[in-house]
Amino acid sequence: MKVAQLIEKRRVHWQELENLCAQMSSSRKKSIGARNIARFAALYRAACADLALADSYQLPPNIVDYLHKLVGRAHGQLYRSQRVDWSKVGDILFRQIPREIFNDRCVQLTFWMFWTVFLLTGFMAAHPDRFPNFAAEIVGAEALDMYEQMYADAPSRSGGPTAAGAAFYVEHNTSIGIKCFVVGITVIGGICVLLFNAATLGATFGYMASPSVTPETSQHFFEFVAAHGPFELTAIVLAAGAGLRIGFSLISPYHKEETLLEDEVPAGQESLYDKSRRVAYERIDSLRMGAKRALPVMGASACLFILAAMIEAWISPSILPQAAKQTIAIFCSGLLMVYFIVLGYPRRESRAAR
Amino acid sequence: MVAPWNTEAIDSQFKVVTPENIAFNYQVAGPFRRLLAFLLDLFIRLAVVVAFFILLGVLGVGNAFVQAGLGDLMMALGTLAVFFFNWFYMAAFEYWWNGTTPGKRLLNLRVTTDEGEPINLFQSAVRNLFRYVDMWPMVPLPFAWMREQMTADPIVVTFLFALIVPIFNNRFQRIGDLIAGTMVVIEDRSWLMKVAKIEDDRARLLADYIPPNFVAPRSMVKAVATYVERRRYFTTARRREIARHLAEPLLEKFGLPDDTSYDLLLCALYYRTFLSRHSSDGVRDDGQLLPNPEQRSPYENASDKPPVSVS
Repeated sequence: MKVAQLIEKRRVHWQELENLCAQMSSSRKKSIGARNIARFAALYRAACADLALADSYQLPPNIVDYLHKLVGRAHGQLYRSQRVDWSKVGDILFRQIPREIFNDRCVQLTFWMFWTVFLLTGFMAAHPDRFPNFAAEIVGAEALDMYEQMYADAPSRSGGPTAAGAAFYVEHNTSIGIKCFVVGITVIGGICVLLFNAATLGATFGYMASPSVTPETSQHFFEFVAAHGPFELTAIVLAAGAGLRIGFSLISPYHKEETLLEDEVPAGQESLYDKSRRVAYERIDSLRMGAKRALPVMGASACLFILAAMIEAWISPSILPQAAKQTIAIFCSGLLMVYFIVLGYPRRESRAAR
Repeated sequence: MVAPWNTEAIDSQFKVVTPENIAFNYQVAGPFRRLLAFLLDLFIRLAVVVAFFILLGVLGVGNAFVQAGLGDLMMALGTLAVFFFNWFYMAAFEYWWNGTTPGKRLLNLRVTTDEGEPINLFQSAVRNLFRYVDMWPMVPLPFAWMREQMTADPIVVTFLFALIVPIFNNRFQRIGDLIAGTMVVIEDRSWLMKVAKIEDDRARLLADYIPPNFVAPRSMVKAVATYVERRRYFTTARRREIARHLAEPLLEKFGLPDDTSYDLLLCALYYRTFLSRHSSDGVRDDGQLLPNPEQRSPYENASDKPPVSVS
């Protein structure tokens, strides 16, 4: 048969496929109907076959080009983004993520760095007789004055809980967390941001506890901060840890075991043991693996940020007595410990699987 | 491990092998087309925000809310909307619209994985969160008088990372693309061009003088087809100049006189390959392929023929 005739004959099918593609991209799949979907699949397979045969038919290049684009479009419509499987979320959130976090060296590193600096600056700022002006140098004198004025009143008398406040805390804190995470790709930047946060927070806490602040203000401050503190500080540590995980995977790539080739196996006694070597992944692949491991940690961190924001907006400024807020703080810390230590502690089966 | 794309030609085409065991080419989108899409998305976001301000402020809807005692709720919703617009606008669209955002859709772009598959939620989230790194380095404004007049952080977003990182890989991937393992491809709809018509009778006559056992190799068919489909844009002298390289050795091979028009010979070859009865020997007539179900009555025996016969 003539090539020209062949193309004329197929053109109808191709154009029909094109129309179906356009329909599918503009409307939901369910409204198209089962028959059209079956038709689409058949036409797509036929176009694939045409493309595969185009070379042996010796079709003109512009038509081959057209077929490439047509198959590409149809492929994009046939294979679409998969929906999230919500049934697995519980398992991921309460079984996989805590274990991941418990074992994550980066989170451990950021945990120790954050708390060391936090406690150190806190201690130094709380003793102005031994370290004069320390808090003012870290946080800035104006900021400290501002904090002092803010907490001069009891939290329940300054405003009270509002939905706008909740939204503001979600937006502000989660943005900080995301930035902390994203900046982690440069490792140094991530560590700097983490240490900066730790130092300013620690200095503020220490200053508020120091004798240079009136005891009333100090009490108001701790009353306000206590309830949401555990979640928020943990969330910062997690976000920074997830960011560092990505940064480190770029600097020192992941390794894999590779069996030696036959002529590379060492002779004699050693050949019984050394049959593999460690090979580094390419940096791109390593980056991707790091991202895959870091994202669940970041997800947990985002959840904590949102919880912290809710507590900060609804409970911290409320009229609840101080004892209630402290109870909540203890309860939250307990929850975190259960989550990370009880759920996260490595199990026997996971060790056996390794 | 040598990356497979390193062995391909340098023409921004990327080969995808589908589950149907077909390889087709995607064209990877360059930075400037993507910049345009990004600006379009930015513009759309801006337009939505401005529209809301007009609605709330100028038309007085905001005051009505405040009088109804919903001012607090409105503030909360507004703040949350800004938060999601800033961080998750692109990711949400790419997830729901199968790798496209409004801007990308207008410019026929689509995000796929490195293997040309659709992206998942994880990938769309990661590649868009890391836009923040793309804006680096963020440079503080240089002049003191500028700094004093501005209230917020006076920082210039240079987008230098977004420009430099794509240069160093073959698929113009940003940092976010590299981490998530995605790329942006052009998904053009192109018109199906017809096979060029040969009006000149002399070409058809000349085709009979080409030896019947001559089968042109693939690369030559490609060259001839490309030439003939474009020859109408050339002047006579230009046609002669271009066609000479292929036609001269062919004339010698076929034993045709030297003064034959080169252009005519290539047309004749095109006619022989694609239009004449001799073309595509060995290809059977597959008119039975793909009967259109719309044209048949539903009770016709549909089972005796397979819907597709892949030859």
